[in-house]
Amino acid sequence: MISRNGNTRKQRRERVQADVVVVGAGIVGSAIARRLSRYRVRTVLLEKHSDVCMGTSKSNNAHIVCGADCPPGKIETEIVVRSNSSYDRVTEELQVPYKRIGTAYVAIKDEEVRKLEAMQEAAAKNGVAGTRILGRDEILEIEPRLTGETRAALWVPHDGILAPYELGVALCENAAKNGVEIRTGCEVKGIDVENGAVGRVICNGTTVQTRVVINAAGLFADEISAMVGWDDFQLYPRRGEFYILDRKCRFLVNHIIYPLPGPITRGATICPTIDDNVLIGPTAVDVEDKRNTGTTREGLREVITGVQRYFPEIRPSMGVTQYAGLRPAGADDFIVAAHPEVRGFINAAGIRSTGISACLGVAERVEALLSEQMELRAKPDYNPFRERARRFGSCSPEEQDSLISRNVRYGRVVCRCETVTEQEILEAIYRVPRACDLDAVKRRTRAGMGRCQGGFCTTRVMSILSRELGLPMEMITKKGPGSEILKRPTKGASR
Amino acid sequence: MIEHRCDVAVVGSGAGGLAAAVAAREAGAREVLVLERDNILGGILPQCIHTGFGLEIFSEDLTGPEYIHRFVARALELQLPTALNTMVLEITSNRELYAASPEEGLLKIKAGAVVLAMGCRERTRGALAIPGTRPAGIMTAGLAQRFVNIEGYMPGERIVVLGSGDVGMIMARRFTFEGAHVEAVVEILPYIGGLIRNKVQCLDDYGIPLFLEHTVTEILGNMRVTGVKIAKVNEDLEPILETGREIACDTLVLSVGLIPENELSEKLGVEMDSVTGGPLVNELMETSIPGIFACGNVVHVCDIVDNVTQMGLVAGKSAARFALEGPAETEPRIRLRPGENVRYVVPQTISAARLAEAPLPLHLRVARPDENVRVSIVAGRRCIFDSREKAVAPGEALIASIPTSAAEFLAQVDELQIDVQQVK
Repeated sequence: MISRNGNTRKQRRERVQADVVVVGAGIVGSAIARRLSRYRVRTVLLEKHSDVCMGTSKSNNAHIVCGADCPPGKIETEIVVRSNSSYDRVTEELQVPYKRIGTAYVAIKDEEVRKLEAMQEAAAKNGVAGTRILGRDEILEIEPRLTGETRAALWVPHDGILAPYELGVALCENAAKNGVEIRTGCEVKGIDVENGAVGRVICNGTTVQTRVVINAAGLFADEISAMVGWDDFQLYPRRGEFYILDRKCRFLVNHIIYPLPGPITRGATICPTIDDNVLIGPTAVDVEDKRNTGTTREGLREVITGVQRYFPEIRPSMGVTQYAGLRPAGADDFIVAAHPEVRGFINAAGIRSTGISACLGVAERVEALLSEQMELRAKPDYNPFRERARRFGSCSPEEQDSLISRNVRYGRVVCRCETVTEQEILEAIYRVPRACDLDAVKRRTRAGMGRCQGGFCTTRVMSILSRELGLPMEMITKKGPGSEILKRPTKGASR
Repeated sequence: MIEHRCDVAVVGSGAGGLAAAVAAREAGAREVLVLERDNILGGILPQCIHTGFGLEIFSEDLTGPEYIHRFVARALELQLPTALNTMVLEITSNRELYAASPEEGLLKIKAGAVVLAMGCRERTRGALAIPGTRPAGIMTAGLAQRFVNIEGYMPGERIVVLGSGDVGMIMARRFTFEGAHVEAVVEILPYIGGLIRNKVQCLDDYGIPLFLEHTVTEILGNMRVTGVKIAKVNEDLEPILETGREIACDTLVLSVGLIPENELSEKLGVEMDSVTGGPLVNELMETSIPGIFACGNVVHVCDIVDNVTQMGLVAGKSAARFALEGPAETEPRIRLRPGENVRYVVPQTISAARLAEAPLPLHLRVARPDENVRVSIVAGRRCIFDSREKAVAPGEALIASIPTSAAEFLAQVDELQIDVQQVK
């Protein structure tokens, strides 16, 4: 820490007491934290980034799948299939928009048509019922913009879409409301094992004394696990690149559309997003650097050409933004288990791209494992409900009028493309986990997510952050320390 | 919900909107209401503190704030009501507007006529799909301009500008004034996107390197930009990666084009021109929906503000006339067709009858640069306008005027073609 006169001195380590530490506030860690918040257990959720849901959980295909095409016989498949029905309840409790729009696996070639029945059988073996094979006319009727070469499709009605970062934030919000302590900017550096049991978790600046550590560190779960000697698996990143298309393209597609799965991945999808954009991607390329989430020229081109086979009208110019996500690869299956020797260490590791679709099931399994290690007594005042912040832009004129008359901040439109008001931004800043930077505000409110990509609203959102957080403008960041937007005042600028 | 009535409602208070409002009032409209979403009038001009404004209209070299102040002052003089911090959310085809305002709540405005003057927005990185990471330090030129000129902050010290639009070149100079280092201006085309005078005054005079036929192929850095890779492009504008090199920088500024801001217009359902990105208009600046007019960068992105003002004056006068006298008589329309080396023409249709009153200026933009050309307007085999230009470029719109003498002849045609051809 730098003291006022510029001398450095060692900061006193903060000591925190916990019963359970959850490492990683991605979608899995957040779901676990919320699951545990119903019990009289002091849970601390640690996240190294400046906000929750910053890794793989924000950069994926945003599908909740029912497991129709998951590999047979895996724990992953069992969890995905069994927890699928929970998504209706939980998204309702948390008021997270979720639509089961269904998936069509589209066959174009003869040999693909022949594969559909086998896929349907495999789905049934996984425990997914209700799938149907659609003939050419049937699929083209519900997806008229598909290529005319379409021959048939396997229809899986249960698959759905949501905004994964909204689910992540909502899970954390509800967990926090029920007593979970969320610490962002807190990276785990080591875990002390004493007498065969987990003891202290050493973080940057903080030490947490705990009885149990639950490892939900996503792509970095192998490194956390190795801290307690469980090092028989290694994770590496598999990069997936995506395009988000303008809302004007929403008419192009009504459901989740996949080509038939290839040997390595499911291929590039095209689907509407819950906010009425269109999402296409991902690619699948194994890479080495766990931190490089850059897109590539080849990858972005592959996404477009891959989807053009099915939707010939797609053009790169329809893009609003592009991103890449790194999903963990390398584990044969989900590793949701307690350490065989070190008491108090539970892995929720090796969670692949299906993590969003499995997080509720993983949380339940972790809960069961935890109950073998400590008594879980229900909190009488546990409240599973979370009220979603009002979205001014999607209200009727009458509702908009009444919102402004009750609170003038609803009358100040900050983001023009997405019609986001000052009040919505304030709620993002003050609800726990708090949004303290531009991207965190964006994920919660959509300010800056529209066509102009923040061209107009960036300065306005920064001013609000600066005012509410009591920070000078130069300290406002895009996504945490090191990503400050401004360098210095201009010559002679007075303030 | 508060309900207002007015003769003319103007959406936006930039150069186009204020000119339209003033002209509407001067043409006799009693109630003219200007709706502005920002907390001051003037649109983008208050942040354009460089000179070069007003050369055509005032024969003076003004800064943006000086230029727009003349119209703000005139609006105050005419006591035009203005609604600041007021965001128009929807416009209906029977000329009702819904707008949100912190002071008044949701407003419903019934207008005799509406002028669309929302201006334009900047193309983004996402529209170009520039590969790489997503750190802080990537911004459009207009946002950079706002940071520096309005907020009073420097967003970077070592800057690369992608695209040679006017704002990008002007910001390259502005950054230099503030002590930052502009490493390069990178333009994918073989010629600049903005005005020649801006290349001379903003880049050449300050020794800022310009790389034509180059583009940014990758953005580097996880939290903050640490550099960009640039490469030469081939004839298909595809980068030749072997020619690539890395430039260390902390900021990438994008000046890669402007897009008319027509979300409201499209929701309203006016017919659009897919080339300009704006509504189709006639010589009165009226859109396909009667009583809905448009002007300025909403219609097509203009090179200079004077042209925006001129369009605003026409739109405002026409809107006032519509509000006071009702729809103009429907008469046969003549379609203007872009021909050889013409990307677009504004307005897209004209009426011969009204041409009898005054000559009619057409704004046209060429598709590619050329030299020693003839600009002609042709009906069938007859040429009704002809002029020579030494050099033309897509960055500089041309004006061709249809003379009043052609009115009688034009009554018999339904299409005119505009060509820009090289003189052998």
